[in-house]
Amino acid sequence: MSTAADEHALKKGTAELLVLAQLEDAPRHGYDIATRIDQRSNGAVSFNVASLYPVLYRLEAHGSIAGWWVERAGERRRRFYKLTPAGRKRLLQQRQTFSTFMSAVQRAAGLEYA
Amino acid sequence: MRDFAAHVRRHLPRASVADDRYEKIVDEVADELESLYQASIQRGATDAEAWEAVLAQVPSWPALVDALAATTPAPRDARQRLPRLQRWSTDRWRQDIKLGLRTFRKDWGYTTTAVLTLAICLAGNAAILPSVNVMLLHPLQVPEPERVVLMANQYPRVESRVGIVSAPPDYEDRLRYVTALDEQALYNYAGETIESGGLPTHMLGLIATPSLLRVLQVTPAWGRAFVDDEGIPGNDRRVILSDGLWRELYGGDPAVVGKTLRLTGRDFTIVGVFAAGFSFGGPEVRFWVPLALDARQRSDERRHANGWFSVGRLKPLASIAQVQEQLKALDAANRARFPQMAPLLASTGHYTSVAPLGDVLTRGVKTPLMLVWGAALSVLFVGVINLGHLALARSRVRLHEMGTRLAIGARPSDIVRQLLVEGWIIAGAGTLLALIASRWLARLVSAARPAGLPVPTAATFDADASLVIVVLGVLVGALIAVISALPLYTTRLGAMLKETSRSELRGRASRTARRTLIVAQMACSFVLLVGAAVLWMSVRTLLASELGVKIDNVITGSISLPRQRYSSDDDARAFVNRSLEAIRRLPGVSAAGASTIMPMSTFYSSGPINAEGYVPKRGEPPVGALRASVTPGYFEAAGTRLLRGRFFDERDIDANTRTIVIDERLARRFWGNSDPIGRRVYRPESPSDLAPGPATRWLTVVGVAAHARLRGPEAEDDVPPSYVPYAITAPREFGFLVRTSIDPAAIAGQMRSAVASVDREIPLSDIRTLTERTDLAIAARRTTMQLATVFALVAVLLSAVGLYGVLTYLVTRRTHEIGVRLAIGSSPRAIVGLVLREGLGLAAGGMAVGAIGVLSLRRLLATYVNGVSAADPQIMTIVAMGLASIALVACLYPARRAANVDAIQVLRD
Repeated sequence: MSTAADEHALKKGTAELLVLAQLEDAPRHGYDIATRIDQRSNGAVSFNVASLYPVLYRLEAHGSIAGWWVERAGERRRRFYKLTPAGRKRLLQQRQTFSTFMSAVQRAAGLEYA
Repeated sequence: MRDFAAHVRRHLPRASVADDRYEKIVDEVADELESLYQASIQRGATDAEAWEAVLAQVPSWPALVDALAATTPAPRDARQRLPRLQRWSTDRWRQDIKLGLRTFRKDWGYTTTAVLTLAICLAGNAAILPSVNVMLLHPLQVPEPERVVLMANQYPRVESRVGIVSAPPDYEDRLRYVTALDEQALYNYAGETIESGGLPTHMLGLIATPSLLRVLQVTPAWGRAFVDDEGIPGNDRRVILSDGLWRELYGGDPAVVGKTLRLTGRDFTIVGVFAAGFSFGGPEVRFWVPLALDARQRSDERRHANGWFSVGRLKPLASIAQVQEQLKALDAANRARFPQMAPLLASTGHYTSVAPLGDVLTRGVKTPLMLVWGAALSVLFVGVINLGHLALARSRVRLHEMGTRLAIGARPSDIVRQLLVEGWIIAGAGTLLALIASRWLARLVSAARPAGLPVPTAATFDADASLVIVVLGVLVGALIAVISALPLYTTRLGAMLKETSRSELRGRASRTARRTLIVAQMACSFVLLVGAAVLWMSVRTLLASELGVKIDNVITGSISLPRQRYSSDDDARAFVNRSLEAIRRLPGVSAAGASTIMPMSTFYSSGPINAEGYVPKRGEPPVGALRASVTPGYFEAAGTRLLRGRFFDERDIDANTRTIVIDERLARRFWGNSDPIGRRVYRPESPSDLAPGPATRWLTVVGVAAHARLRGPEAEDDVPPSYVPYAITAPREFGFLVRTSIDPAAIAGQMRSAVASVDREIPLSDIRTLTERTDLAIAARRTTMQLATVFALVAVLLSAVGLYGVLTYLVTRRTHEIGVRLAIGSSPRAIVGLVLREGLGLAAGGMAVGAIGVLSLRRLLATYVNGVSAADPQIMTIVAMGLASIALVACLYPARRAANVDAIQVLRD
């Protein structure tokens, strides 16, 4: 059974990975990123403004992603983010760490046959 | 339409993030919220429902503010906009220096230790370097000094000392046949009596062929050089003054050229004055006079009557090897020219040598100076290792401080700059102290100066040497900074902030490095100690050796009688007799005599001696002997023992006396164990005189004296002396020896007056006790020994401190392990053993490496010590035991500390 606290901890540990993963194929703006995570996890994991933006800003400060403003005629200006080469490396590393961790958890918790 | 931006602004305090980011964040967050709102409306929600969804996006604004603040890299952004120049401006440096000084005030223990360590290590080098600079690098201060060569007659089979002199006929031959040389000259030292301040004073000068100035490529600062005409007898009453004598006699008056100066009663015209910095032949040389060789000096009879320095300058493309070839050809030609001398010369192994004059002058001083310099460099090495340990230990303590500075936005380069400033402050203080201390040390070093060399005295300042020291200081300062900065690059920031002493930088590698350095230090100390001990033993052996002269309670002084006033031998004899009578009347004088060879001096004459009826074996070299002319009373004053017969007395004060006293070694050489008294010997005066003939002046042996080492304790070749009565030849250069029953120095003044009472114009010069002369004879060796000892002790002290420091460090590092050992039943005694094994193991390793070092340096040291092997196993054992005891002391505190580790406390931590 999952509690709110469990979800918070899980999200915190995987937030960077989730955000980076959404930018792997194309640059996106914040709302787009949050929507995609929500959709792809069938609503199991969702970010609100308060949880998404600190992660974005932190990744930007580390140089993993780069943001820029895009203005189109007739539209509001929006800030788009894309992966930097360092971010791509970070994504790869986090994926690896996470999958190692997950398989370890699965073995340890006997989840494989559950 | 709702205003999303206003909504965000209302909840997000402006002060929470930097100004420039605030608007961006507001824009972006508002944009996101608006997108959400629009999406909800599109899905069919009411305005209230959509707004509800928007509000749910930020459950807690304060939490968002915190989260946003944590992502802010503000200080970095701000600093990066500083222009690069400003970051390195003088203001920053000044601030760094201020900060550095404040840090040192807080941590004066570290500062004093580091500054003193560096000062001690550099001072030794600073004291030695001026001597190295002058004696090894610039022994001759003339243009292209390496092209000035010295030629000399060598007789390797009869004289083990390397010869440095030639005879005038050699010079004339070489002028003709040695064409590889541009210019050649002949010179020697000359003593003259010059009146200065109303007192007749004995002064040393140079008597040289006019060509010497051309060989050296030197011209006087005032007036002119000698011209070749002045090298002809009758034209030679000319003199060039040294700068010092010019100032002393004439107060630096440039109008002195052309004036007349009286040298030992003869008038000389002053033709020039040398520049202030010029020195050739040593600082004692105060004037130059031309050498005008007369027909007698140039005759073939004077061949091998060596007593002159024969020098030349290589032609532009010529080499020393060419000169050597031409000298070899010349030697061969002379053997053919003088067949009667050929067998004798062959038996002595005669040849003519050539070598750069600078090398010849520094021959005796090179090895000791290299030894001492090597010792000084080793001390610097040992000390720098300690500074490295210190800096590393301190930087670990300061990790937290560094971490904090990094965390609040300093860049590593800022901290490195700060560390550089700190390193240089320490280095600057240490270097300054070292330069001051070296002036004092230099006085000790200058005592080791050899005769005839321009050596810096303690008063002169050597800019080159000081510059080298300053550069060394700067390098050491930078090294300290680099070592201090190492943790910056090997430790993660988090680790720095978390814990100071635990964060290990490359643990195993660092420990291995520390151990290796300790072994290196111990090895250096071992080599230095063995070297110092060997030198000490060698000096002790010298002092303990039987000199054949009792040096206590004897005072000596030299006399030079001018030939003009003492033209007849009778006058000279009268002067000597009356002077001795006056001296003997002085209170406290027990014996007095005169001799042409002052014991323990480097001035002596020697030549072959032959005995009646002695038939040398085929090819046997002639027997050599020192030739002393002595008055009655000499042996008693010198304290030389009589073995057979008698010494000289009133029977030997006549010019027609034909008696001789010989050294016991000569007696044994000629007659074995049979009685030599009454036998006859003779001393050939020229090569044609070698075989006895009708003109031979036979001397009857009246006494046999115990062997005396008149040339000093260092003379490895014991050429035995022979003594004839002074009266026979009445030489004009001699010295008085006076044995006293009171302190000999106390009668120096009375002795001077006694001589003056006979002839007011004859100064008694170079007044010294025989003990002083003996000390002077071994001064270079003694100083080398003393310096080596000082350096060795400093190195040992530094190594002990280093060992102590590293063991303490290792114990701290292993506290946990020791705690576990104690907890599982190890006794404190076993723990002490553990630390001692570590410490003594390092010391033993160092000594093993050191022993290898001693063995490889053995040959260098062997050239300089006598009476003791450079790798004497006994000395090595004693030194090893001493060093081990010191290492043991250095281990004790860390060992006790380890044994006192509280196991429970450690395990709980």
